[in-house]
Amino acid sequence: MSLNSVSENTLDLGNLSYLTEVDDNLCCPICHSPLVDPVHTKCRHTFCSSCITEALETSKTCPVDRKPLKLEDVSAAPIMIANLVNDLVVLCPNSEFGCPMTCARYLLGGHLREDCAFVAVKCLGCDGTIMRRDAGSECLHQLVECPFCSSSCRKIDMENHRVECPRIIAACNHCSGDFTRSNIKAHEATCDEAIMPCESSDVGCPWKGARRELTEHTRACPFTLLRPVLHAHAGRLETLELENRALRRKIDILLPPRPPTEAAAPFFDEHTIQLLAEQEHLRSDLERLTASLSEMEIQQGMLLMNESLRLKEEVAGLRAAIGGIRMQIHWLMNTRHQAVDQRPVGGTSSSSGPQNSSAQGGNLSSGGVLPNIRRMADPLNDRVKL
Amino acid sequence: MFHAKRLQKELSKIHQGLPPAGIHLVAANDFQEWQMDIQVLDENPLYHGKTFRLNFKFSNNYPIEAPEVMFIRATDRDIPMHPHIYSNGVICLDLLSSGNGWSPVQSVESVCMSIQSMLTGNTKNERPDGDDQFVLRTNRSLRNIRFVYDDPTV
Repeated sequence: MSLNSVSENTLDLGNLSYLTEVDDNLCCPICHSPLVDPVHTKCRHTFCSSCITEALETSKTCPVDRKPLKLEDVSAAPIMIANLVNDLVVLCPNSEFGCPMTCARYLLGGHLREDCAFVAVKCLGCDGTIMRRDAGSECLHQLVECPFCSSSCRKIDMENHRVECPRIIAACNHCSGDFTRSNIKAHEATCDEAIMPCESSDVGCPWKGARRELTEHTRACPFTLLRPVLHAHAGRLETLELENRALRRKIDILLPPRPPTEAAAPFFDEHTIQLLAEQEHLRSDLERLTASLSEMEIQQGMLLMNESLRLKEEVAGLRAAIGGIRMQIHWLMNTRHQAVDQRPVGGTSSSSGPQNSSAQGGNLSSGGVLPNIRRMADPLNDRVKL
Repeated sequence: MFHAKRLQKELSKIHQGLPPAGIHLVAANDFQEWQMDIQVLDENPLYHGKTFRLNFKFSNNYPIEAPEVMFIRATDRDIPMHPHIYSNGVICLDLLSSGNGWSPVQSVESVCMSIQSMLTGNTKNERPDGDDQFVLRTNRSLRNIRFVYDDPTV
């Protein structure tokens, strides 16, 4: 059985709700909705077919870049774009009536035409329309009589009528008696089975039970027995509270503001503040000292390094000078040896002591070789004095 | 209902995303008329620390047709001084003319931004020529006013 929907051509694709947020790139810049029947212009902008047609009626320019544009310059967009928007998942337009269907957009037409239970279709029995889910073999528009209140209504409205018909019989929630709906309220106020709290629930009795057990409970209920006493206490408490409040106000008026405590507090505060300030002072002093100490340490280190460098240099100079002197001595010794060798008398009894004195003697008195030695020794001496 | 749907989308976009700085929705009770507040964000001494209120009127043909946009006075909201803004709030801006200036891709937000930048770039503390006469004689609909857009700098 296929019941074709009456309003087949009213599916407005521009007015659908989409299951998920749709990317802006798939939306028409004019209607800001996902493209319907996408077309593109010769300047390569994409719009809904109906949107650009309408826009071109007002202004013969592309809405995006304002280049001149005619309707002839608009052609169907690439199939890929059409597929992208046609595959977007939409809610059935009848979802507000209860249709749970979600499907790709291009399937929606078929759904509404064939399946959707919330589409108006032609009634089989008369010329009226009816929702597909209610459509059956008989016409639901015929008048029927309510079996309870004997008013007549259309069969299709009967369900709603049953909910509100005042004459319909309903069972009491507590006892099993049947009453018409208009009487059930009155019955519940007297129903023996109705659950109700103890009369003394306001003073704390937790009992709840059927009305017929209530009198029995009341007789034995300790709360009910104590009720007058509790009430009397509550009354007294209230008067005492009131009195207390009044007295308190009176005390506030009579008592002068308390000076001793107020005086003590600032004294203490002043003292503390002074101490704090002093501490702060000391801390800044300490910081300053630490800073200068580290500065001095660095200075000291530099000085030490400079000094040791200088000393090292000096030592190197001295070493060089000593080397020079050694060479000189060596040379002198050699000449001396030669002289001794030439003189048969000298002998070989020379030691370190006579060597030194002979070198000095040589320096003071010898002739041809001496200038040479002088020249060698002088620059060395200068370096040592540095 | 085309315009209502489009405005509904703009409204939900304003509500969910942050609108650009200095632009606030004041009232959008229906799809006929909205109010927006705009502020100039830089240090321009003409507008610094001030807020101005724009009134948008939409026709049923929006966004094919341009909305009517003008400044309105309210508590703490004055008409900004600008050589293209008349003292009754009428704005002389080609974007707002339904001729070739308006384009249906514009939105309330983009119009606000255009007017914001029009104020930002201005240094003249003056009204358009013939402001007095214009204000006296303008009691007809905004739509009938023909502007001549002669200043490409704004």
